Amino acid sequence: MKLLALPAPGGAGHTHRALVFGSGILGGAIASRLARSAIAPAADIRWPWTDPEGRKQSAAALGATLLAEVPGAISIVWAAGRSGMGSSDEDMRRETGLVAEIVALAADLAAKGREVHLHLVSSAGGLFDGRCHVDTQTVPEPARPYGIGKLEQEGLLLRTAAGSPAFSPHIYRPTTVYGFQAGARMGLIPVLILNGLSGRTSTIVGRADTIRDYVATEDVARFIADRVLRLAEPGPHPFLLASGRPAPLGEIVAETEALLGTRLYLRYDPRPSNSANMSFRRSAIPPELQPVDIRSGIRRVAQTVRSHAFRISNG
Amino acid sequence: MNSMFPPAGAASIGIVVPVYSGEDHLEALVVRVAALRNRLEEARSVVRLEELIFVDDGAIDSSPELIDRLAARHPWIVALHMSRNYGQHAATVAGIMHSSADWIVTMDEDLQHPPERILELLHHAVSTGNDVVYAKPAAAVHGAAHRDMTSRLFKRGMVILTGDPNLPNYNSFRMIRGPVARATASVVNHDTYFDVCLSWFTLRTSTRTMELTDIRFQKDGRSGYSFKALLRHAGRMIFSSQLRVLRWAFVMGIVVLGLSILAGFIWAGFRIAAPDPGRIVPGWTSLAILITFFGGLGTFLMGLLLQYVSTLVLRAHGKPSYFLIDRSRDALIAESLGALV
Repeated sequence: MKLLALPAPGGAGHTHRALVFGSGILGGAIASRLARSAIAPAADIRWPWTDPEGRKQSAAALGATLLAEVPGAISIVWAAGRSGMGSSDEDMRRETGLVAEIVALAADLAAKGREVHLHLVSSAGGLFDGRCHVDTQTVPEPARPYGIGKLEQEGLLLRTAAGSPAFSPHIYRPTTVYGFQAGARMGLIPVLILNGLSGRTSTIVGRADTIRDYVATEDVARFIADRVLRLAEPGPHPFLLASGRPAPLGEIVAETEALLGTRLYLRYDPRPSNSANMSFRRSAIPPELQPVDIRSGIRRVAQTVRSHAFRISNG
Repeated sequence: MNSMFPPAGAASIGIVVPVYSGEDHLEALVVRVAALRNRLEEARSVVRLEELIFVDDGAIDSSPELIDRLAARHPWIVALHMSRNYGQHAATVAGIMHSSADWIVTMDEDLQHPPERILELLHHAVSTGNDVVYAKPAAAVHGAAHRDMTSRLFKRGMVILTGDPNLPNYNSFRMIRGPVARATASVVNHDTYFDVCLSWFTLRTSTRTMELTDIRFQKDGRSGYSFKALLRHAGRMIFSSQLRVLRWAFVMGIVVLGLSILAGFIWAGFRIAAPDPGRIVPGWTSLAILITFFGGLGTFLMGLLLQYVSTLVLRAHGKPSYFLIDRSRDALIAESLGALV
């Protein structure tokens, strides 16, 4: 978890604190975006994820520290969690428990008179699994434990914040996020690039015509970080962070092949578990989100992957 | 409000309209498309008209602002703006790449393609198991003999050159199965012709005859295709097809080579049978045979080389090794549309 001291919109002398939970590709990108505007270097705080008692103590200590510091707003960003489309009920219960602890921390700080903003990164893919032309009016009807868990987490946040005027809930539903960060979990695009560079076979658990809406990590991170920095008001409904440009898997493969100048070795799963189409209406996308087009996005990821591979090969 | 899952087996339609100078027509087009959309909803059809995508191709009138206003008014309308004028072909491809519909219709901005006929195209496609259906004008669309004749001659010439019998059916009012349209749009580039690329993914194409009129041409006598544009069009068709001429050159080379070898044997036989050539000037026959032999060999090798190059070019253009398709919902869609068309 990272603790950052940020300038507040009020001007000189006004500051606010931000806590970013999640060191994965998205959490890392949000923290790094916020760190650019921070007035002091970010503090890394070890969060005892596997120790419930330790977490309780850490949350209490963190709350006390934040309350003891100069007054100002507190933003909490939740971009943690290891769940995915294949997660079980148990996995989601565990993750929702962790979210509940952070929501409780935020509610406690709000109850003690602090302006608190909790930014929860949910999942459009989980909530709208197998749906096309999704917009802000589309009601989520998740089919898998992953989506059901994400919807539960959103509900938990909204219910808790409803009773407190100082507690602002912000919910983000990114679609299929792509990007590369060494050591972090990888999605289809960086896997194709890495395997393409090393001549390995990639297994695809969809069909060539399966449609997804890919949105670059940097674009999502910039959008969320800007809202954190501005201490923006919560939106009337969750933010759908999509590109609005459906892309078939075959196109991603073709673009990657063209970019690498080589044919990719592929194996399509004959019984794909994740082959339902998903697409999102452009009219549902917040105008401040300016997603990069998929071709440039893949190029950007390839550059990062290549430079990472170069660094590794050069020790 | 999309509060429920679409009905089982639901199919969506997306419409792609390149926009260049459509300010006089777009509002009317939206009204007619909206009426069709409502009709489908009221009929509780499994088919839904989910999106109308306007692609501003560097428009020369106030269409860009108009499509933005229309998109702000209707969430199912998408307004895309190209950075400059790339042409109708590129605009169509861009629109297809932004559609996630199961079936995609491409049509012109000026109402020469009636939106009311879209269901007819779809019904024809799903009831015949086709992946592409072109609207075929029942009569000449321009209403001017010279213009229609030029169009026919152009198409006939292209069929001879490319060997593609479907070419005369190509029309910008077409219904394409979504995955096929998107796969084609993914590989097409500025040098390749969209409809030729479609044939890389499917050979199940058909036509549906209907009354179509080029309203603009009839009104101001100007065609959408200038002579220069027609040449560009032809170039694109030729470069994205495996030219029949190349096969001809290859075959002709083999034939000439064979003939020269045969002539050589016959001439040698004559010389053995009748060693005294009499009045024949020595050397001329062998020279002629040798020239024919090497000419044939050269043509054959050149044909072979060009075939090889053309295969590489098509591969570079993205011609796939294979493409899978799912037509399992066609019967359900056909049944649902039966009462509406």
